[in-house]
Amino acid sequence: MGFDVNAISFYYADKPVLRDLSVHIRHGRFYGILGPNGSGKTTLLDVLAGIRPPAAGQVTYNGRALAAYTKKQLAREIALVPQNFYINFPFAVEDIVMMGRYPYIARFARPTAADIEAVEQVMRRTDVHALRHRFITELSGGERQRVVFARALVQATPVLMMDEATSNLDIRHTIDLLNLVAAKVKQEGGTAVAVFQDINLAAIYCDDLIFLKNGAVAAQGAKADVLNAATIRTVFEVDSKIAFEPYIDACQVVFRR
Amino acid sequence: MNARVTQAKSFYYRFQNATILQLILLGGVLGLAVLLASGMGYMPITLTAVVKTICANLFAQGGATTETERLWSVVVMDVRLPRILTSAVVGGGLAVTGVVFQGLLLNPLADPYTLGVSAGAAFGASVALLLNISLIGFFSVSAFAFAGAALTLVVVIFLSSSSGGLSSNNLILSGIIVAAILSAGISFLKYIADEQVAVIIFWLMGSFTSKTWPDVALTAVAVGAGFGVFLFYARDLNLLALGNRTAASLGVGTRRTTLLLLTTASMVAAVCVSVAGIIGFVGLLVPHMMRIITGPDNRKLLPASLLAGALLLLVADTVTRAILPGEIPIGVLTALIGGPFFCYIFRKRQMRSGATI
Repeated sequence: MGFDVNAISFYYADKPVLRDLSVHIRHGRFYGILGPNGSGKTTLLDVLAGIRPPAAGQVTYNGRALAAYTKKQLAREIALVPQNFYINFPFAVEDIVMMGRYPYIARFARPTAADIEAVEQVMRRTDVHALRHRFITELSGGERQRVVFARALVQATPVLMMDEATSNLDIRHTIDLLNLVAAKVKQEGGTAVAVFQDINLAAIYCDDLIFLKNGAVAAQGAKADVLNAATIRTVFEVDSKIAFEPYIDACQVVFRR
Repeated sequence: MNARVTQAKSFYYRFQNATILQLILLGGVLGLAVLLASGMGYMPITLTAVVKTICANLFAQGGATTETERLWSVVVMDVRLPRILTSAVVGGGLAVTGVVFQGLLLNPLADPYTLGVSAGAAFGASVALLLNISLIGFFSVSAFAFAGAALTLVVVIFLSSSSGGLSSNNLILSGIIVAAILSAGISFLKYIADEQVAVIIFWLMGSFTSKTWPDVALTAVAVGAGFGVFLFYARDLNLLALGNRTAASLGVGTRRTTLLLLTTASMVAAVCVSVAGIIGFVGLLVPHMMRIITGPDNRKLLPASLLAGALLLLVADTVTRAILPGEIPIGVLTALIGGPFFCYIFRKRQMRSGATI
């Protein structure tokens, strides 16, 4: 069970962004999507999340066409941490996090004690609890990203999608949040799909890697099979050396300038 | 459930109750203002007499017996109340549509007229006034104004829709372009209007003079229906403030919801403008003032803005009708009072936190 993406294409106006792309995503694994700028990473994430329907091809989730799910059903299956987050209105941090519970709360109902407890817990785990009464408009970029992360986690979905979700975070918060996600994948059988710019970060946390180039899959599979100098040469057009690093028990890449 | 949750919960409920209390208070003040305003004017009537007259007319008990009571009845029921209620309903309508536009366009500077609805209505009304059209009698100018506003909305939405959906920037830009064209059109109409120019200018500045019960009914139905729709989608509007991708991932049908709210809000604004003329600042000012009190959650902001908008325009209209020696156009008055007040609040907030409103 998971996502089966078969031969999808996607266009912005007439410009093809994804062409004839197929990927398979199984539950219980951490997937990293890597590729140069403009290779279609974010669009693929949007298609998987059901936000943009593909122009051609099929996407199924748990054996059923993604388009057959209602928005509300999908909101209980897939959470998304977007890349840029800009908000103009002074919502309190805890109100933003509570919005992650909306898919479970009826339109005019109040949050239950369980909802409030879930928000409290996630705010503590993502280190935004101290900010809970602050306005989102007053926070720094990194703090805001943590709030958005908390909002996605509180949605308690089997699938979590992250679009460069740690790009503004300092290294401690990056590690803390990715540890949280990795633990969710390992212990609860959740699924994580994350777009990374940092190949080494992906090499530490991901089980599987999907390399995109020009809207097509250049390589996909288990990290050990696809993360090599040849793939990086084809996809990013840089020379690199890949070596196992026992300190973190993962492969790491160094690049030639 | 542990103590911390109980505490958090009770905090939440206290907060809810505070909002409800604020709304009740605001509603009470509004009701009182209606009664007080009914007593004010060329012929002052005491509060008790106003209440007695309204009750007598509502419940038709005994009816007016003395000559004075009959006069009061005419002044309060036929002259003052329709005008007062129209101003209140229009004020509430402009304020809630302001909330919706600011939320949808993700822009605190948006107001009910951002998409050119006012310019469209003004153009329609100018045409009707210039040609002295009275096809459908009394409501002709209003009907033309409404048609102008609706047509403008269609053009603006057509201009701004792309394959990616309706973006806030595209909508604002299209609204500005269309409004600019229409403004030039209105200037031209004024130029060729000759004697009629005064009528057009006066209509554009807005007025509640000689409003009748049908005006009350028309605006109340439009504003009431619109408010119901807005309240139903208030939570989705909160999510849309986080951006389209996030809102979609939280279960909002973004394009459909945006289009529905945009159309409804524009139609409510169009009805308000076609009945009362172009009254600025209420739709911009009230949502900001209320956001300071209730916060940006639209489920609280919408009802608070409805009541505050009603109160504000009612007071402004009463000032120009009963307190000032001569009547000043209501649109001018709201801008004259509202503008500086807005500057004051804005400056004060800037100094305090550096945060955007």
